[in-house]
Amino acid sequence: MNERRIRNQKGAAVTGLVIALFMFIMLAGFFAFDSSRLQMAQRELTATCDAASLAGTAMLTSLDIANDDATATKLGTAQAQACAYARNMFQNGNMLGQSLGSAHVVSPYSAVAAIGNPGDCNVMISLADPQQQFVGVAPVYPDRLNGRAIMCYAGYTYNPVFLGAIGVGKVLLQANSGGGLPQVDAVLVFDYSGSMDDATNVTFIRRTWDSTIASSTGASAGQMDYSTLTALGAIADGSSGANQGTNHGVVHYIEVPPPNASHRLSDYVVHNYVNAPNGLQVNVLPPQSLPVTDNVDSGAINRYSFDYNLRVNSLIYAPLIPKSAAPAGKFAREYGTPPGNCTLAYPYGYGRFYPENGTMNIIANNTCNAAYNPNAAYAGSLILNEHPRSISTAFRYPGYVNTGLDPHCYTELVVNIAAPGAWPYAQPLNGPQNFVGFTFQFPSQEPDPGLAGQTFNFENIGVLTEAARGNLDSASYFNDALLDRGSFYSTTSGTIVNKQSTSMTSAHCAPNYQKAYQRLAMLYSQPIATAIDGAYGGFFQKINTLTDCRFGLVGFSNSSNSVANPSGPNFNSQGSAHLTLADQPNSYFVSAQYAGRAIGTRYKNTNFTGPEYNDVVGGGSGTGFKQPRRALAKSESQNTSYSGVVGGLQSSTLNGSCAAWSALSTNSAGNGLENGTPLSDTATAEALTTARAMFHNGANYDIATLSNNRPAAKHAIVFFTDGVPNSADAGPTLTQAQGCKGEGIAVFTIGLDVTNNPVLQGSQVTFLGNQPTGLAGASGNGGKFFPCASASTVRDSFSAVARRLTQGQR
Amino acid sequence: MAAEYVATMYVLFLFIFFPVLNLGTCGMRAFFLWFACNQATMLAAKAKTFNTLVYVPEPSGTPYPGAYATARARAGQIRSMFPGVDWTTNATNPEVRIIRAVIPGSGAPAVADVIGPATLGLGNIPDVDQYVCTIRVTINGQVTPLIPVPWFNIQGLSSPMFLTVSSEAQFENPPGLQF
Repeated sequence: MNERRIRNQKGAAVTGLVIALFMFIMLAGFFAFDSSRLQMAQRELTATCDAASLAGTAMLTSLDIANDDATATKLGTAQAQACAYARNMFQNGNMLGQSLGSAHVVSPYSAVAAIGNPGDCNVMISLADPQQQFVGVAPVYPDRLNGRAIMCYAGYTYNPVFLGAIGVGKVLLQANSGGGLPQVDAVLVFDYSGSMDDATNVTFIRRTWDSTIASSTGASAGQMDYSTLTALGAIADGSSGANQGTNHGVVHYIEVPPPNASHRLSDYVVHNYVNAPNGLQVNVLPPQSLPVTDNVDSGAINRYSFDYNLRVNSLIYAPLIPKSAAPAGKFAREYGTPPGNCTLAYPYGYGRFYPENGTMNIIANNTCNAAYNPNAAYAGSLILNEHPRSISTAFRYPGYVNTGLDPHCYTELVVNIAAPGAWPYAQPLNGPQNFVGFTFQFPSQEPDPGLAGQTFNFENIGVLTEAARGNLDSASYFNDALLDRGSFYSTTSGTIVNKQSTSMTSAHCAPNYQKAYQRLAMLYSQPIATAIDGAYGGFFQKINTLTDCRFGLVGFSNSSNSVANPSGPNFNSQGSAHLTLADQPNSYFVSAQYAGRAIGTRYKNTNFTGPEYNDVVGGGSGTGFKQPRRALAKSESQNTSYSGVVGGLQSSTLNGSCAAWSALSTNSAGNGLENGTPLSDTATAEALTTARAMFHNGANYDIATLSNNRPAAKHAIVFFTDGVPNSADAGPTLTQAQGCKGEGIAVFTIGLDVTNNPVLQGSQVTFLGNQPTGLAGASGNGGKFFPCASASTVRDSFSAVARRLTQGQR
Repeated sequence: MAAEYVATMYVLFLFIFFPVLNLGTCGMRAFFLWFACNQATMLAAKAKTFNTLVYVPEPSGTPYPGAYATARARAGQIRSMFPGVDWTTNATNPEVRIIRAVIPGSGAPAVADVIGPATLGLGNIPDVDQYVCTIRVTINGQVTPLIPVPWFNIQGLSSPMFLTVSSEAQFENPPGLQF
């Protein structure tokens, strides 16, 4: 019996063994399952944090933080939006197949680590200072200035599926991730060629002496020289002869209209962009190179011709003008002179034609027997000893609009400025087609202390013209120009307005009038003003705010022709090439000296004997017009580097000597982005050679050594142009870009075309594009070409470059 | 029956429980070894240089050791967290390797890998338009079973199991590989 019972229990141990084995394997499987699931959850949480922080950082680099106010409000808004974007990105994630949409947004950090119910997720998005071990930053000013990284912290309560049965409770999973602080070392190569202001709305004006109009005040018999009039019988001539008399003669401004409604400079002269895709060398601010309006690329039926004889005081042989101020004989100024056909005798007038060779022997008390007749003939046929009033024809005085032999003859090119609105000025600013009078008070934030808070009136084109010439800066200049006798203007804005009084009196005069005009004209010069604004706000400000960076700047136009090292590199600001004769481009320039120096300093290099006066480019080398440059330097602080390249744009760097568009300033703000002058050519080879060489510049910066390098930095050249180089420059420029390839330097190119010119666009794709023969493609290293079809997209392109350089992860 | 249970238990523990326990432990520790390698790779890929310590900003900002040091330090940190995971540390273990994979169609020539602590060297900057630059961390390590058995030698069962694990990730700042 007992034996049978025992026999019946045989195999029970095997059964127990199988059951035990089953249980053991099952437990091992449960453990393996939960372990794997835990690991998967951890990785998903980490990946979600990575995605959120990267998205937040990307959003931060994408938002507009340009021209921020004193408390960095824009930055605060951008940070808030970036954090919100990061949070949304996190909540769009999944954990173990479940949405994180219900993740709790918590604060402070300790709340992230709180264990909740199974499946609960806590997330905290915060700002961090990557320069200080990613310590948290409060989103308030000034702390927020250091909040350059978006951090994402997350905690997830994981509940084991099976292990809970053996006492393993809820497990807290944690993860964090943050956008890093990239290092960026970039050189901006910026185009200051003459075409950079071709889209500016302007007005051509003939400023002439009109002796048919009675003067309002001040004219006496002693001021009139009748010798010529008597010789030619002009006084007794014709029906209007009676008007020639003692009390007649005023300055008259006559608008020379464009061929169609558009006052854009390129439309004014009907520039042929197919034949000359690089645009006009004529500039809207000094050096204006006005004679260039009459060139073969102009499609105007009657080309616009600059009459430098009528303008007279713009002749480069300035010492011939006896009104020179100190230093005697070396000073030419725009102000204080009436037109060249003025017939008043010295010291009341300077109606005298000066030949170009500078050999005229000035006699004392400049008489008016050589007064210029601008209507006698065009193209330099100058009739000496002829009064503007001809005895042989009907009235040929240039005082009537669109009449006379050459209605396209002009003396002034002024920008159709307007009130730019509140600070910061929002580009693109385009002036009206027809100038409209206005009054403007510069905002208190205006960098130039001479303009900040000041109010200026620009009622009509007469005021505009004299403001541009500097005659409204003081009553002395005003009277010297004989404007106290009264002045009139005529426009063709729809209806001819004949001889309206400008109402200008010496009471109009105020310090800095010319500077005010030039500042506003600068803001309304397109596309350069928008391009500068885009580079400033879209690139420099953004990179400076979001990265640890150093900058270099290479301005170029025709600079390669004038420097000691034509092929480059030239690290300091350069004087650009300039010619010497009156009818040659860039040969003279009387600057308003935006600030810091007296108005009227001559900027040219002539063959006139005697010492040059102020021909040296401030803060640089060479003569002529400044093309600003600033070398990349590792040892500089970030703020010094940034302030140097943005120059006069940043009031904190001015120290009372703003230098915007002035070649003179020698302080650190004088070699910045706003200190270049649009001028003639597109010499790209020397510019890119210099930019590349800034990365091989010995102790300043050298990517070939560890000690002079910033090894963690992204190296980039941003190449901006609105044209293409000539064929001689294209090849060497491409060679430089190819050289960048092996040096880790990315070349980002931005090609602007505001003329909708398919020829130019095609040329830019070829020269700047992403293919191996384009600058961006040849450089490799992530370089990319950004075409811009309008000025308004320039900032977007600069921002796109900045975004590519600023995104990174810790 | 008692005798049968004894035999059963003997079989159960000696031939099933302990081996499975040891093998399971080795498996888990092998995972930790791979985890150390993977985490080292992930962190190294975010480094700014390959083998140069930099501070952002200089000279006293956040320190960023190179990828080589970062990977090795991170792997060592995880090793210290999990007993039974170990490797012999030397200059090439953990090995941190720079791999430049040619992007198809770029026309770039194939190039040899560089094994840390050597860097690409000054001037040898990979073109990101032609190469995908990755960091691969490889660890020749060992994982020990939970209960060592001295009587016989079967890796993973009675003695440490030797493993080679590796992980690879794209390097975020390719120009930094020259330093």
